[in-house]
Amino acid sequence: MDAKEMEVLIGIGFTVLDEVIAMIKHVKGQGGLTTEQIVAMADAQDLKNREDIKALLAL
Amino acid sequence: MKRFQSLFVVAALLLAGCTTDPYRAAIKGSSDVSQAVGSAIKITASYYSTGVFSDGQKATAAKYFTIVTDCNLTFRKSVVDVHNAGKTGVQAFLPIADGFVSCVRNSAPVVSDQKVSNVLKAVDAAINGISLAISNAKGAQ
Repeated sequence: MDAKEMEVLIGIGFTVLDEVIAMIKHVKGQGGLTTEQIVAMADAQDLKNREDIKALLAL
Repeated sequence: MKRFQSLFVVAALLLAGCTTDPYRAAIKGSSDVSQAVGSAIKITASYYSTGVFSDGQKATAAKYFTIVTDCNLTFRKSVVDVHNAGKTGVQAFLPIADGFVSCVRNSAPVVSDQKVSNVLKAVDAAINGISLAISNAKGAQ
């Protein structure tokens, strides 16, 4: 493995770790919310996902 | 690389925690899927920008994310409608969760590429975990 490949691997590793932490925060954050608030949060996340999918396709 | 992906899947499985009632379990499950899709999009973007994913692999993953998001919106709306109709039991929500799984299975592209499949695993785990979370929910039967 050369330095460039190592750099790529470390970059991906950090991205995945960031997302694992985001998921844990997501689960912990739901604890204090009402079910209706979770519905609103999921609706907002789905809207963001749609925009992020468009951005992904535009890369 | 597989170690990172495994960590991501384990985190997704943790999303199916204990909940209070079937309605809340279904909504939390739906929210977890939304979160898992959001994370998988970011990981896909990272893979693509570093050359791990090709254009075709990115497009396949994006199509899958779109279908899951559409099916999830339908699932969540059905769950809220059933709740508003006054139904509270596990049996009222389980068929909707099964419908969510079928919606994704019938519409999503067949992913034979192992690299793409690994990124989608966490989303799959979150979808399949909804039925389990509803079944394990306490409260009204």
